[in-house]
Amino acid sequence: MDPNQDQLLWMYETMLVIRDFEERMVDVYLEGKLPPAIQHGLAFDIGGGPVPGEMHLAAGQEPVAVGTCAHLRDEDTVVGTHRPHHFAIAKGVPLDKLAAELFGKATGLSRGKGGHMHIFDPEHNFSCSGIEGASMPPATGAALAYKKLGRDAVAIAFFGEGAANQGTFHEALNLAGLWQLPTVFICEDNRWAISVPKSKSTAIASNADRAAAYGMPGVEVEHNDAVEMFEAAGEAIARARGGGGPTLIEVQTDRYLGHFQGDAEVYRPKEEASELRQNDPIPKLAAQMRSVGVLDDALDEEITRRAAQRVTDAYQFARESPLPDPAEALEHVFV
Amino acid sequence: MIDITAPAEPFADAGEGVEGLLETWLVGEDDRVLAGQPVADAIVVKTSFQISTPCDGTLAEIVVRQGDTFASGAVLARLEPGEGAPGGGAAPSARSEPQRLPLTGIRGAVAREMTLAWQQPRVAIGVDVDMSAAVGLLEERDLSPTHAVLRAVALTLREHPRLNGVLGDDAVELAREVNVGLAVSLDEGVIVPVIRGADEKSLSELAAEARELAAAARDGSLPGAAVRDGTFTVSTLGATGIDWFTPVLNTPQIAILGVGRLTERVIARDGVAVVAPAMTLTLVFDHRAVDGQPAALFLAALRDRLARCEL
Amino acid sequence: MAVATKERTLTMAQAISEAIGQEMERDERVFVMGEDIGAYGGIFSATSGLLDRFGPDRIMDTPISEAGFIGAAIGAAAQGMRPIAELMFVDFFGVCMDQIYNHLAKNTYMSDGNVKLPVVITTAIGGGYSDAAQHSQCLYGTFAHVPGLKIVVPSNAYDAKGLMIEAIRDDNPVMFFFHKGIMGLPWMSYFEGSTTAVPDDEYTIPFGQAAVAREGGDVTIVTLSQMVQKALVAAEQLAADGISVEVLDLRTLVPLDRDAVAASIAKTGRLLIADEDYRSFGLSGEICAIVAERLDTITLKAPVKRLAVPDVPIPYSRPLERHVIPQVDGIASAVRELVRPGT
Repeated sequence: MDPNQDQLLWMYETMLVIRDFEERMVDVYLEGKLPPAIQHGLAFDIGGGPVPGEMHLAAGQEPVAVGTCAHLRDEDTVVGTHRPHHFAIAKGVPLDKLAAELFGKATGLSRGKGGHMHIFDPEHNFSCSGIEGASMPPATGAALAYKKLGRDAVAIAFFGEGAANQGTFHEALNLAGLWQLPTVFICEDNRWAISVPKSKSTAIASNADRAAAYGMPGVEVEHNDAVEMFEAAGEAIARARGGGGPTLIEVQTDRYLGHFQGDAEVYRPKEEASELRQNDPIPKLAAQMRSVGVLDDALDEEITRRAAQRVTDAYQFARESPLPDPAEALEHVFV
Repeated sequence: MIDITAPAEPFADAGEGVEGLLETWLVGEDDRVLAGQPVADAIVVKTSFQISTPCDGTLAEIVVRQGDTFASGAVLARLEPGEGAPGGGAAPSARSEPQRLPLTGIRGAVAREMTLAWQQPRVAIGVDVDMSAAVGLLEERDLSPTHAVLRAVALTLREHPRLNGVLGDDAVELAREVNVGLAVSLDEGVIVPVIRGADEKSLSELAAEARELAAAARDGSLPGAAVRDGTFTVSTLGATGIDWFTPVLNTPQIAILGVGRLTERVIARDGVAVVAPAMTLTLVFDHRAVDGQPAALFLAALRDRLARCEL
Repeated sequence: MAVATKERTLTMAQAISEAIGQEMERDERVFVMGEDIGAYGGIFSATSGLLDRFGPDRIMDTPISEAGFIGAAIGAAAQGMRPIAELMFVDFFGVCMDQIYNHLAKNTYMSDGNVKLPVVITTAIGGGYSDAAQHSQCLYGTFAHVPGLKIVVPSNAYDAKGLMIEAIRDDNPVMFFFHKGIMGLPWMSYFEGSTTAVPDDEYTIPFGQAAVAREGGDVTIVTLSQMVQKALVAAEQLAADGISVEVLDLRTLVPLDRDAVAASIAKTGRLLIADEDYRSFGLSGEICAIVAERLDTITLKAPVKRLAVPDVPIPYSRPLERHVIPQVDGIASAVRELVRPGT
């Protein structure tokens, strides 16, 4: 199944928004974390500045998110990872409230309680977790509910190749295969789990080969390409919606920035990241779209400008929003 | 031109050479600002604080940009002092682009305050007041129904102290003075100047002061201190033809009274339908600070005082 | 880095990796497993430099499989090895807790002492840098509650080295909790009191011995981990106002030095417990119980006060997090309330 014109344009603009959002965060994240704004003697203070704590950016991994979410409705569930922004944006989580949550502001999705790894948007059925492998069981559960309620919605669990070695992967896939649940398990293989390369963590070369052990089809998407992802995800999602059960997809993707911001990446060869950018999926998609007459210079400029404005507006909204009252910290343990 | 400089206090515990970070400018260059208005969010290591303007004026130049660092005492911006209409809202225009009112300046301050106020457990109770007895007096002395309400509120609060005060972090703080704020609509935003010791002022004195404060609020000459120390707020939309509304609490005050329009209504009197001047009063209170019963007693007493013209 | 004299100072991270390195040289049965503990040196630098010295057979980067490799540590220990397994963040214990509390903690007992499990589990704890609910917990109370695990929680580099060597030499399972905010990392603000002079030879600190970090006569603060450093800063401020605070650093929760706790409170008559773990059903309640059980020999001049996380998950946004994790000024205010006349 090929993407139609609207879908191509949506994927292109969404990838631009994601890329811009992530790359601007690189600089914003560093505000207040470097001398002279920090404690003496430190080179970096992870707790400083307007966006404190950990930050895991997905620049380069856009195709996995847009190629999948192009097929999804609001009522479909997506459970993401500790590197969630591209999934959230592609799923339709409002950009301003997402940004405000990263800044810990009262206008954020969780009024500042969750932060970057704990993005919850029930309206768009999006959630994520900071714990590796934690996405698969809840996605399986959403799919279980859909099946019981007779709805044709699907659930997507995103996880990294590192998390495929966690016990939850095996248990969730077995359940989905056993009960034939409408779940699509999508493994983002960016080849690094912090400092550990896949070759040193996984006993086999492709996680797609593990699918057979759990009674479901396994698919390998070999390129970090939005259209390839669109096709593979489209088939799997249609299978799930039609009652055909789960699928496991492993997709090769590229992580341009470190595992987390501030990561000196001493474990990764310095040239690797810049080499990866030569296969940037965004200009690749633009070229594909131009070749079939869906994109020209004027439209490209309009889309690029609009994407940039959306990101600018979101960041400024976040900056100008107030912080929550400290006493709110005690609220909503229970409802 | 006045320099807005970085205060020294947030740097007190920081080491030598440690600088602050300017996180967000809440206003832009050429925006009008009021004295005491927060114009930027900043942080020194882990201590957040706001930069405020020393006087009314226009923000002429931003020196330290968003995301940059600054030392204690550094010049952050320059302010051109002066008077003029407050608020940063854009005038309606014939442009085809959609209008955008940034949440900066007064709009931003109102947005922030409203966000906070909306979190309270608020309860609204309403009464209709038969103003037949009072309208004669109002006409004679050229007073508005709001003036009568101000007077009635001030006197009734004296007898119902549970509604007169604020909710603090760990206590309800009932005030000795009755300082009633009157909400004044501006082109952009709302401001609440306070009449201090309202229970000790006569109806005429209250009316005169209310008029002065409203005029000062509208032309931007209200001193910053005029909006402080309120213990209760009165808000009216009567002039715009609204029958009743539930105003937002003026945090951290315990209660606020919304006044609807004075208009002719059909009411029952001694079993007969008659036409009389009436208006609806809506009391919104913070249920953490006071319960329904005392609030209801206050509102009923207020109604009775107005209905009997005991002003 | 450390200079080879007795006067050098080490950060807590350096002290821990030094302790592990010295024991690995002394005993070839000691090895380390964990995520990113090899090439990366540990996310919080607890195993910095060890891969280069000992190679990948003894410093083993594992997949993200906690139940797998912590369970493997148990099996290897039963065969006579002395594994150290790192649980990257204590918050991740959920994925491997069965191995820890049903096996590691209980096999010795269930075998009547015949099976020895000389395992050390190292793990990072603590918040204060906006890492939110799943990466900021302490949870030593949870583990101390389960019989069969020794619980070690150092507050400074000197103690960390001695306690780590003791942990590795102990034939029982030991959980070693190091607070990220006192490791002395160059990328996270920390309390400088935790970086101390550390002797370069081997030494041990016995478990079950609390340390008086600061002597005083008016109030006892019972505390541990990073909170010791906060209490010391508060104590210095209070001294300027003539209030004399004794800070008791528990150092180990299992075994717990109950006598030291009782003796200090018997002396001062006023107790503040400062704990970064959750308030209810945990460490602070246990300390209160010690006092309550000895009211025949302890006279309290004021009711006990506890400062701890008020039973909420750790929020992300900075003002929210600072509100729930006890801070220096909160400790000082609590002490002032304890010594107010009439109390």
